[in-house]
Amino acid sequence: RWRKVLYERQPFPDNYVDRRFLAELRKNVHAHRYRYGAVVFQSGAVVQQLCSVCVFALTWRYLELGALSPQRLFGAALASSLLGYVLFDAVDGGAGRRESGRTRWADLKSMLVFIAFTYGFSPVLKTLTESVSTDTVYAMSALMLLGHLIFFDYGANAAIVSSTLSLNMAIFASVCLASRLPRSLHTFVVVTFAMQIFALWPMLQKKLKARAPRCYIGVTVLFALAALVGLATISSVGAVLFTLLLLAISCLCPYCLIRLQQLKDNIHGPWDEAEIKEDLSRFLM
Amino acid sequence: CLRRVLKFWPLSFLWSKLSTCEQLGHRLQHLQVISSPKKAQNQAQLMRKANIFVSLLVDVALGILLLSWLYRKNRIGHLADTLIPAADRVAEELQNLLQWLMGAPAGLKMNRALDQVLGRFFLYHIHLWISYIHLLSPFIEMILWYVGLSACLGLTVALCILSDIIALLTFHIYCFYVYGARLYCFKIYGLSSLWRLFRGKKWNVLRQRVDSCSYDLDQLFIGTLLFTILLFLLPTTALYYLVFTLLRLLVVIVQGLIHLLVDLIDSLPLYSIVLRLCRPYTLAAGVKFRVLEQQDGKPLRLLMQINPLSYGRVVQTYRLPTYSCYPKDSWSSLCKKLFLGELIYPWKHKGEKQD
Repeated sequence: RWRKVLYERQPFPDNYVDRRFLAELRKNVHAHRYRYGAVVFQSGAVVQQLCSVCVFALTWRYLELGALSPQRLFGAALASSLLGYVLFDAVDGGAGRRESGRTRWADLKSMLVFIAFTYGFSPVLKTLTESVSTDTVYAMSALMLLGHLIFFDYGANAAIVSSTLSLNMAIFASVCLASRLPRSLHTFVVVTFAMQIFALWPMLQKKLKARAPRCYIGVTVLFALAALVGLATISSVGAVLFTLLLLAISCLCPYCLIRLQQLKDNIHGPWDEAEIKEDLSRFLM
Repeated sequence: CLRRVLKFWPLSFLWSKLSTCEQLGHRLQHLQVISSPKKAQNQAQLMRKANIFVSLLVDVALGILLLSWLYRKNRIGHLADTLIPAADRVAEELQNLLQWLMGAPAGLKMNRALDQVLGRFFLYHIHLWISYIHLLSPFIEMILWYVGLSACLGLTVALCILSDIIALLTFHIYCFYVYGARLYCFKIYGLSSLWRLFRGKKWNVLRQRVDSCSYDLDQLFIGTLLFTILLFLLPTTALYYLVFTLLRLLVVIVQGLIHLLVDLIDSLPLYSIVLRLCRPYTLAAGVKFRVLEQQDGKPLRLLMQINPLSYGRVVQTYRLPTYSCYPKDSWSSLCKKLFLGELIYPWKHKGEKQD
């Protein structure tokens, strides 16, 4: 009888296989089975970021056109920040704050540092890209915001994700755009607003998503609607395109993902690389 | 006792900076070698002494020639008269250059505010410099007259004095270069550190490598703002740095050429060359044999002739050691220093502390 060993001389040729060939083949062992609703829910993170970018660009455009005064924007942003701050603690009942040990005094200090620094440097920031042509400024900001979207931490565990880089790119874009505004007060307001919408808002949303999913869905839909309405006042073509983009990301892409999952064809067997599952640190003594 | 006086700062500082004093010290050393009562031990020492003696003689002769040429027809007066206008002209050219930089030079995009600040700062320095020169102008002729007398000590000393005068006249260029280089170096250092912060990494000093680091939100924010500011102010600073570095390099090259000439006069072994010309058999590199006659039965007769050293080997063997060493930096490290904004110190002298 044939045995699957190589160290014995057997009367069969070297490449002989018997009927148990590929009996140990397993297909798609680790493949996920996605549900449509869950994927749409998770795609809300991408939709949120797109709307954030859109809202930021809209606000900048309003400030440039003079339709929005900086004082009103600052007041509105401050009020919503306070509301968000209260909500942040209220959502999980203070558990996160107790865990991280961050006091309210430290938060207040951070905020004062931000405001003082930005206000002090806003005249310098304003003159930075003055001599650069407008087209270059637009191109740079668009590139930076695109980079922000690419590197953002949507919750996936990938190597390309770098939340530091994405936040820095967004702030860089806001500084580039801020120099096109008339006065340094505008610069200060735009940079503060960018900080709030790109750094503080995602933090609140992550918490909301973890604790109160229904609230999260409602907030996402409202945010998207607000962005669409704002965009429609500037350019209707843009609004249509943006709607199509959002629908594609939230409805079409999950459908494609689920359809393509069925075509997945991974094979596993005893030829795979061994994975060490237990903790070997006890040998390091 | 002269040496003890020289140990005090700032006298020793001045002594090390002026190349005239170096040259004088070198010649004093030579005089000591010649006038020592010990006889020369071997041929090398004898040749050396002879070379030094002849070199000194030639130097002093050339120097006295230069002296007589200078003091005839009141050339010193002419020189003094043209010196002040020349310095003024240099200052005026610098002012024009700064005005051009403060505008939009070569179509480059400069940050207007920083441009104005830097330009005005340097213009003020030039204004100070011109006032200083005009203060000195009544005394220039007298100073030159007395300083020119020291050319009798040798042509090399006169050349060193010329090099020192050039250094003093272009002192403001040196100052500008140092300011520009320090500003640029600081900016490059800050930019590289903040670029690492931008990507979320940090320099690990222990392991001498770049590691990832999770920064706080306020560190990130302030770091990004500073990075943006430094990045956009870079073209302005870089341009000022480039212009002043080029000027400084020009001055350094001129001084370097003068020093090269001085070195040549110092180290050329004239006595050996003349000896090779007149009596080549005293400098032997080897022997040549020539067969005179070859007959059977009789012993072989050969003529031995001395093969004299070639001129190149003469110069190479009997060269006098000079006190200056050429810059140790290779071209690539020089370029790297220029790029990073580190200060360049040309022509360090042997025996000086390297810091």
